[in-house]
Amino acid sequence: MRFFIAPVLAFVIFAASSFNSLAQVQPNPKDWQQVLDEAKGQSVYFNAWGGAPNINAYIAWVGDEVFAQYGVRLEHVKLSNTADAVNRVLAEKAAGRIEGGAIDLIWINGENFASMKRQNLLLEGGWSYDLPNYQLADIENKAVLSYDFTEAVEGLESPWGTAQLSFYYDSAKLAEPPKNLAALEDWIVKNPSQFTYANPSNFIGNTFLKQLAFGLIEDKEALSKPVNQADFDRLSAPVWAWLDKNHKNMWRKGKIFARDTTHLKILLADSEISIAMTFNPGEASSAINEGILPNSVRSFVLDYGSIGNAHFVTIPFNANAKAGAMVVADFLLSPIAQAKKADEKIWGDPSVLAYKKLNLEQRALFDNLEKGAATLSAAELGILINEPNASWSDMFKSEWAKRYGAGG
Amino acid sequence: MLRLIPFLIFLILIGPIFAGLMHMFGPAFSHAPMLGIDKISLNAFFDFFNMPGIFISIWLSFWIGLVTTLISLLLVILFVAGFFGTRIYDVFSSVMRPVVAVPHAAAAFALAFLIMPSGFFIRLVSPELSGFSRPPDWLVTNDPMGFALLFGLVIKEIIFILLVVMVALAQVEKRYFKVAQTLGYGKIWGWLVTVFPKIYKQIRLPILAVIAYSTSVVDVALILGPNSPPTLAIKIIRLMNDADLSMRLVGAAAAVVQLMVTLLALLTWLIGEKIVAHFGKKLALSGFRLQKDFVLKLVGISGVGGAIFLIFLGLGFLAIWSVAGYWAFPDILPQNFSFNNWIKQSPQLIDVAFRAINIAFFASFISVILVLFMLENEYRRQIRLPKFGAVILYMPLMLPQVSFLFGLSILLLWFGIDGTISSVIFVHIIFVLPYVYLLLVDGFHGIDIRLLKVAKTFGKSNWRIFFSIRLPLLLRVILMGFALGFAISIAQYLPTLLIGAGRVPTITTEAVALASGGNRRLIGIYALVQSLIPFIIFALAAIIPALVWRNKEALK
Amino acid sequence: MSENGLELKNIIIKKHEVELLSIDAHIKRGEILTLMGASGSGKSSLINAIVGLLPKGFSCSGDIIIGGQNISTLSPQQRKVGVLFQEPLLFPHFNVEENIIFALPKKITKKHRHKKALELLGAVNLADCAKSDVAKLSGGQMARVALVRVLASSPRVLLLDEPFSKLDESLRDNVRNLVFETVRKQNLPTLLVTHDKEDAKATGGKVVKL
Repeated sequence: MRFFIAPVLAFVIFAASSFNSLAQVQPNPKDWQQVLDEAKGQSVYFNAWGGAPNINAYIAWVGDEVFAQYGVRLEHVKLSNTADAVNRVLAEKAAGRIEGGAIDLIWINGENFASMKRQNLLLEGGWSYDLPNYQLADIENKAVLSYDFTEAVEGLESPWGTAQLSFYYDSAKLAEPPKNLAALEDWIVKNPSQFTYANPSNFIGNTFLKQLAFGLIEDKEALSKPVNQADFDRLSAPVWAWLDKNHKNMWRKGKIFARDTTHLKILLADSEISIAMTFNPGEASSAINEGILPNSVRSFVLDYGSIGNAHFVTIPFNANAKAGAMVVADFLLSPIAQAKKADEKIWGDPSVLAYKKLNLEQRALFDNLEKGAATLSAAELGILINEPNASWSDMFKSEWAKRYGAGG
Repeated sequence: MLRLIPFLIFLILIGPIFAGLMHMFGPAFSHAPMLGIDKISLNAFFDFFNMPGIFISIWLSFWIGLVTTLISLLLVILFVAGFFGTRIYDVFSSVMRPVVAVPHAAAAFALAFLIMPSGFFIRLVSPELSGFSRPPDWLVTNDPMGFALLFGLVIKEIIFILLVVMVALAQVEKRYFKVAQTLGYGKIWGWLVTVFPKIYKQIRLPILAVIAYSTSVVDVALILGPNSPPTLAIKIIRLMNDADLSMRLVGAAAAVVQLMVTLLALLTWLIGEKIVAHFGKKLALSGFRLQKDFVLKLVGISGVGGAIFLIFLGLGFLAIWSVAGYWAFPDILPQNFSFNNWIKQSPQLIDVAFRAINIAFFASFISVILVLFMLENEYRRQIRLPKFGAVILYMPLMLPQVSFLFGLSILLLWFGIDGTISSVIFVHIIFVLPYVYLLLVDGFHGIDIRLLKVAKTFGKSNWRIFFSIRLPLLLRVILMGFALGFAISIAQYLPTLLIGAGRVPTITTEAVALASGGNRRLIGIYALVQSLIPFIIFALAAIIPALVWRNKEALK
Repeated sequence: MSENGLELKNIIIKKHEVELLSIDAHIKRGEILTLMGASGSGKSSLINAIVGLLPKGFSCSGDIIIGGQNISTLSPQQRKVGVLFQEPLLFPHFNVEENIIFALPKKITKKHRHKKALELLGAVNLADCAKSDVAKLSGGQMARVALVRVLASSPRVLLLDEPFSKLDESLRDNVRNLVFETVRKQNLPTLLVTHDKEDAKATGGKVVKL
């Protein structure tokens, strides 16, 4: 009997220690050298959407760099849905795992960020504002870096890239694309089954609804504030009216919709639709480079402005490799990483840095980037409309599901 | 010690299922301390049934599950009954073996690429015959009625049911149907009346597994199934993934409903069996002989042959996509080819492929060992598995994965053992073991028992007999069982995803994740590799015995 | 190896509590006792009982004594009883030689097994078939190999369960004579179970009718 006591005791201690409540001292980015020292040798599990191979390749490159420069091992956990990561952290919190969580870094924004923030699932203390490279971020001109779908960032997530809604088409088949909602409606009627958008359970679909809202709703102020069901029903009426009128002339007669941005791209490549949309201004050019779309593809935006936002990386409260995660987040903000990301041959995702804040060497990285014919310049991208309050996103999603998704 | 094996197996199979279900029932009845909700109520159920289109989702899952199985079974029966003993039958049975290896998701992709409006079939006739310069605006894949999903499931289930029927036939006296023919019965009807009832007992459990799978499949429904409203299983996934975390309670309620739907479908089938048996018997004794069964034979061979052909064709098309450069509609072949994608993907591909192979090897190997020991125990104690024992063995296949895996993953998370390869292997064993048992049981007991008797009279111990006589004679069967278990493991999507907590990427989780990205070239690559791996194992399972026994006439 | 051969004392075999057969016999070394009866009369059950492999539902009471030792409580492996069945039951995955080697008792070391097997095969003129696939042998060859094999295991008693009934007419005499000759030469107490009068006559020994 006594032979069992030692191993049982050891097991109990071991088990208890995995639920221990002794919090480690959180790395402080103000003392960056200490963060670097702590990060060395850590493995950072980066949960990020894995549906786009070019993005995966970019993240792999990031991994090579942070290992070479800082000794941090980056593991890309490919998600098909960011909510998976949110669920995971939540479940770990419920299980009492307040240290050593499975996720160190999450690619996130919008409702997912709001949800984690509300549930206290994020690393506190405003760490992202203290990252060395955050000094270079263009927070003055890009409000989207500080307000994520109107939710204050408060240093809980670090900016990674920006996005703006744009449309693209094959100029060889379509001479003049429609550039406002009235013209779009007109074009859809004359060219049935050549237009669609994504199911709003996906972010690009949801964005299209919000884009329509900005074009059709009278009271635009209300969009930046939280909204209740009654007001939403009243204010969003024009959007549903527009959709009701036009669905029957859309692709598949509006019975089914695209899954996401890549599906829209494929539909355009297959000539099923003639106009697609994306959040990544460099997506069309990247597709041309990859040989998926023909050289004649071009982009455009609607004339009243287009919704834009930023996407971020965040660290869960119980991350195992907090220092390593901070190092990665900081590297993602570095000019070299941002320039490579903005390179259309790689990804084409716009930079979050302020050109003016860069030195000559760093500016050169951006100057040398070639912009494809299908990519709109900053000027051509026009007015950036800020995302409405996250509550609008949720309500658009559920109301759309009720009306057209029948549970979709 | 051998006596403990059945209990061990019981624990391995039932324990996790039970635990997972418990962690599903809790939240379904609003007992979810992690979300700060802990008042038992039916609220989640009310919310669930109030969701738009939910009854359509439920109905979809129910009827697709039953109709898939019915159609597949019918076609297989017509084929086997019509062509048993002929050269065509032998050809088909060898040709279909590689197709067994193709995972459901790959087959679904293959089919999708063929039938979609911008797919192979339409391109074949455009623009010359059809006049289409753009793909027609037809709702083919993801159609709301679920026909594409039905189609995708049927072509795979035909193959599986054919395999199961062939295994059952090996053990049954077939000369009865020749007798029936001499009595004037048509080939098909004669076979149905004399042989089918005998094999049905063997195949009943796998058939029920097909029903259960089809009512709750996730990956095929993602690729081919309706979107709005989707099947119930997809709905559950979406609820579980909603950023609004309180939706998880509704998801749990949905999982309970899914369980009910599956059980109801199984029950319906069992009742249907009785009805068919009753009227079938009446018809059989009424003098009905059905000599003119040419049309039925045609239907049978078209169904089975069609399924095999479509899968091969679809895979071929996938292969072309994997090396395609720019490929516009309505070209049948791409404008240019490139191996770029293969090269760029290879480090990743190799990594996830080897991980999947690793998991499949251990899951199948351990299952084979456990089943062999269990069967040996049966032999030594002269007992056979009681009826309810068989039910327990197949239970993991008769319950919807989506209903207990979420709960199980949370439980493992609580114990901090999720996210490891070992836990994934363990969960795979739950789904692999029943199939391994299915393939091994008849072969195992089918060995001439007198050979073993004789060996005993030579004074050889039980274990010596097991290793020197029993196992060598079972080489082919064991390898086949291993190969099937291996293929089942490779194809697992939800278990690997949930129990692996995203840290155990395999070729299948990657392929389905890619489906969310829509990149056809990559899907082609991953789906091909996903199919190739089990195919190679099957090929080895066929070649190795032939090599080992090349000098032994009786075993070749 | 004692002088007493095989003794069956008060053997009663029951199937589901119904008595199938009862027998009292003493077979001396070198003697062949024939048990004659129609199918289903339980003669095979007797063989099973002596071997120690009665299936479920059967029971056997009484004593089975071989060489003075009561083997009723021993496992089949320990009894050292040899059987020849209706079919040769050669192991299909072993060649002829390996079949013989498998039957050899443990005490013959690895080095000598091969020699011993060849020796035994030589005695029936089958030494050059040593490496053959058993499936390629003729009926008569298979029967001879089966005989050699069972003798290789050094049994103290030999049981014959209608071993000639499946052989061709032309072979039957030869094989029968070979078996009985060998058995007498090796002084093995032998029990023959059969329904064929010819078999009984050829033994030249006592016949018991069931």
